[in-house]
Amino acid sequence: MNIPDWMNEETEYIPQRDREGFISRSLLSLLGTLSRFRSNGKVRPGKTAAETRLICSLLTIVMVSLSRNAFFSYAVLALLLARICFLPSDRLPAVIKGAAGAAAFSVLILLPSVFMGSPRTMLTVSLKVFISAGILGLISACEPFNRITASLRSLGIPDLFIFILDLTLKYIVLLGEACEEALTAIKLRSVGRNASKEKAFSGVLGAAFLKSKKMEDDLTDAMACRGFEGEYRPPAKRSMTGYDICAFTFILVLFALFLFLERSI
Amino acid sequence: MHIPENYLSPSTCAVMTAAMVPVWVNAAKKVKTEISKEKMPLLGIGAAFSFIGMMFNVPLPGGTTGHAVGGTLIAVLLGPHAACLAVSIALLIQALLFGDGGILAFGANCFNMAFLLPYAGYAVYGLLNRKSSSEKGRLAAAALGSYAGINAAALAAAIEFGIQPMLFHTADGQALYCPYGLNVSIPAMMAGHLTLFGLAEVVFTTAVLAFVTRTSPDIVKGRPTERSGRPMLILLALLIAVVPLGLLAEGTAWGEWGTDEIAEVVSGGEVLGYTPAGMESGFELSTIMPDYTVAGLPDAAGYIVSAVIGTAICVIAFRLISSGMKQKTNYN
Repeated sequence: MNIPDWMNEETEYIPQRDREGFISRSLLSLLGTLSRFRSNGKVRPGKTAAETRLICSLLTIVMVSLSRNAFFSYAVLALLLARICFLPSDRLPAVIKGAAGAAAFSVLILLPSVFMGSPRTMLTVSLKVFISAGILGLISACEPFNRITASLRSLGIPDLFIFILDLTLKYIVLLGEACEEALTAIKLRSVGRNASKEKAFSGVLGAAFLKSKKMEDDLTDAMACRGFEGEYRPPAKRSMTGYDICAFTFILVLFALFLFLERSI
Repeated sequence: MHIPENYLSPSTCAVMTAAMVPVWVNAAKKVKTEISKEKMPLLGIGAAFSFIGMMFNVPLPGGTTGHAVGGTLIAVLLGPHAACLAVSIALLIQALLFGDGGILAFGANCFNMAFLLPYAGYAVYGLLNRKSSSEKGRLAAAALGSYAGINAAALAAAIEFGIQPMLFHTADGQALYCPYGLNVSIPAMMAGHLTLFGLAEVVFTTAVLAFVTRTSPDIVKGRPTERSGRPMLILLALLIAVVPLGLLAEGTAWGEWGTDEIAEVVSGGEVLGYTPAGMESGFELSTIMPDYTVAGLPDAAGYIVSAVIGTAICVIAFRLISSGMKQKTNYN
């Protein structure tokens, strides 16, 4: 068979470099968000019920915020740090970064108080913010999200909020994965210098929007097929296990310490 | 052995900090190559042990107190460069959060306890360990190494204290910073460290080393796993539980008097009688839990809470560093 002439020509196309870092950066930040969800998906539920965990954490946060005694905050900080020490290595950085980021932000906002002569305010508030953000980070590191949303039902939160929260979490992941595929496709097709990269990039968001509309239609149909009207049945009554009792005893002890320290001021 | 604020002149502090900078840089470089991702959390546990060891005050008859440092212990397990960084981190937490050891004197404290102590101790240990190969021989070598290390550090601290009145004084001879010269500081510091405090360091080092050899021999062999640190964490928790014992020793360590008590210090039968000017008007950092206690509450409670916070920060800091490191694949 005769090979045509154009096939014998040397291809000498060296693509020019273009500013396409924005594609990689967007992809990285998207993957960062998705990886947080995926790593939470690998979390096995703990022995304590999610409701117990949630209630105890909220009570601790309220006590720390209300306490006027520095020692109480330090004691809770000590317990929080001791618990964080034992987290697995893949979850520990996320918890610390979240808490430290929130505390750093408060330090920044409260910096004027140092110049106005009361640096204690900045330290106290930042410490309490660190503790609160750390406790919340611990919940998300130790419980899968679906358990947390299920436990909100037993706290008496209206069905509509739980429905919206549930859908939001699911569709962040679904739409995020769709965007991830689209961005990877753009990255692979970005060769040489051309103006269509920016257009394609803005098209990703448009495509995600259209996809979400389609997903919404599908969801409505699925809800109608299954007869779902937005009502979440209350979960089956679980009896209190030993771990739950331990958790509540711990909170009681903490509360006793809180009262003792408040009275001694 | 922590040198407090305003005991060394700012120029002395600057010189010691400048001397430590190349040590830190070198140690960091060596640690990056020598310590793998799996070993890094052990560094945190080592720093935590050092922190806790420094909270157990040992009383010396005569009214002063001292403590073990544990730098040689970390050097034996993980190498002297790792020990330098671990002890530096422990000292930094003590200075910033608890006011134990001055901020300006941080360089000097690190020079004594994070440079001289682990490197000298490791050198002696290495020399002696080469001659023996049994477990008991290794413990003995570590004991002698830690003794040598802590005394080297104490001698350096005594010299740093002692040269202050010579170099920095007012026109009428009153010292601006540490008021005791070499003829007082060296005997005072070495008397304690050659005897009881050196013994405390030896006991601490050999006990923990024996424990680690018994429970996690893979650390000693240099191939730790993810669970290797568990027994050490349990030991750490036990030590934290009994840390209020360190409060039983009353009396301030030599060279760690507060600005309010230094005028009454008796040395060689003479009361000092004045407060050095550098201390009265010197720099003071306000910390969250000065002296590991909280006002208005029993000291033991504050001590335990400080111990937990300090050790937890050490462990978490190195685990964070470990999580940021790449796993080294052996392609051979």
